Amino acid sequence: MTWNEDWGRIRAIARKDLITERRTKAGFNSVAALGVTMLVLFGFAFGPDAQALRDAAAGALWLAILFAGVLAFNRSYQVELESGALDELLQYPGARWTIYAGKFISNLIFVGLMLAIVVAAGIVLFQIHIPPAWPILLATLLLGIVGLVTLGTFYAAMASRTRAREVLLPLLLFPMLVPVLLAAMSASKALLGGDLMHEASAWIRLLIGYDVIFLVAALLAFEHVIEV
Amino acid sequence: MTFPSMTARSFVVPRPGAWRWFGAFAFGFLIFTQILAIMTSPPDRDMGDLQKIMYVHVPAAWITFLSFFVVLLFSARYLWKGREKDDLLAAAAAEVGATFNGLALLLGMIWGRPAWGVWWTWDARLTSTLVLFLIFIGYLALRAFVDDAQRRAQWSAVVGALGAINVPIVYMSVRWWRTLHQIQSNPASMDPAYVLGLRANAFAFLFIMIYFIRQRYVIACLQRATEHAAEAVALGGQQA
Amino acid sequence: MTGSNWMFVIAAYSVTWVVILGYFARLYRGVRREQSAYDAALAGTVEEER
Repeated sequence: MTWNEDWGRIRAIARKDLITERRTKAGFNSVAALGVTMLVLFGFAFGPDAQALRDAAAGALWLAILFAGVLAFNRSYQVELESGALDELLQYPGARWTIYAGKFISNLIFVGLMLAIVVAAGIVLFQIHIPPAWPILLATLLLGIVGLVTLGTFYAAMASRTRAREVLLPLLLFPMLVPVLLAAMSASKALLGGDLMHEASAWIRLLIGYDVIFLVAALLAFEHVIEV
Repeated sequence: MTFPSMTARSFVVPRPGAWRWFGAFAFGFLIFTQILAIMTSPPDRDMGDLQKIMYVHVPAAWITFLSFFVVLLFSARYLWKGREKDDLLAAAAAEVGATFNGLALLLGMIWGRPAWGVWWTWDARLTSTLVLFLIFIGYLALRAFVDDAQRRAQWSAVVGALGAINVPIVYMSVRWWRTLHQIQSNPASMDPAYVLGLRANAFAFLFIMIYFIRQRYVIACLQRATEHAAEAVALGGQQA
Repeated sequence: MTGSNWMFVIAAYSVTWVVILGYFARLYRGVRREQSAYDAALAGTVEEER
């Protein structure tokens, strides 16, 4: 299979997923609303003291995105599973990793948009001062959600096809995401606090390394997971 | 990649044989090394008699990591060759590893309470071991929730391999997390006087681990063989 | 201080043996149970063949 065909397939799958989401817009809206709700609950947990909230902001933000994102990952396979389209998709010739790549892209866009909403809400609710190094903070956020989406899309391919998907996906995913969460939370927290820049850069390098390693691993391993 | 077709008779179930003796030896050796270590090790400068807990805690932790490595090995082998035996061995190693992992955590807490004053600190090693435990649990949960044998084997192999890859990354990130902020005392490093006793106990744990994995593997083989036999009966009149 | 630590040492070794013997017992019972299930299943196939 040539690269052009592969890329065409990837785009087709990504577009299909995104269009499906757009049509049932209820999906995105409710997941985003859930993310914001989680922030509110974290606010109750850590607030109302302003300084305590700012200290907790990075952690609360990432956990809210994580919990809301988990819903997105299972959903990305749900439509195909319910309609039996997954088997049909597998009938088409072509590398299986393109299915993963397509879903990865659509999930990344989905979670990225949700991130924007949750971050906006977080800035307000947690009284965050936007730091001068905000571009680096933005890069950290993006690298973090790449990590989330990489493994989330992968594990959901399995969990969504078991009878205990709601518990199995988080159970499998969360321990695996510990490095991403630690790195993203620590870097975000450092950057929000003005940072000794040295700390954030180490975490960002860890994020990049993790993203690369697991993206490659997921692409290689996907056919073992989707075929059977 | 499909399972080679197996019937009840052709699926070779391991026989106990010499392994009974190995098991007896493993337990006896463990008792011996423990008594030896407790009797001959002097009280530590800082920890006093508390140091004796190291003879069970450290080997338990080592065996935990070794088990996970075994899971990685057989998961990779299964993905490569597709033989059911590799999947069953990986699963056996995972269950044994989870058991030793739980033990290591308990012992870490029992050591930590008098040493640090609290039942838990977010110490790098203890925390990484806890995360590893959760990864083991996830692996076992996946196996429990998948009924089809081939799907279970493929998925477990991938999950096991990815989990194993992640272990050093988890350890590294947790350690950074602890050292980039102020932390309390590290566990005392090993005085050479204790190394021999520690090594002996480590080997004792190793033998126990091997025996346990073997027994757990036998159980898994028997279960699969029974399933094959039941299928043969259900299909009716099939040459066994 | 070191005197009271003995309790923790004893606790540690007790927990160790409880876990090891407990898991061994579980494995032992498991082997027995699965062996008899296997033998029963095999007897079933033999019957089928007759």
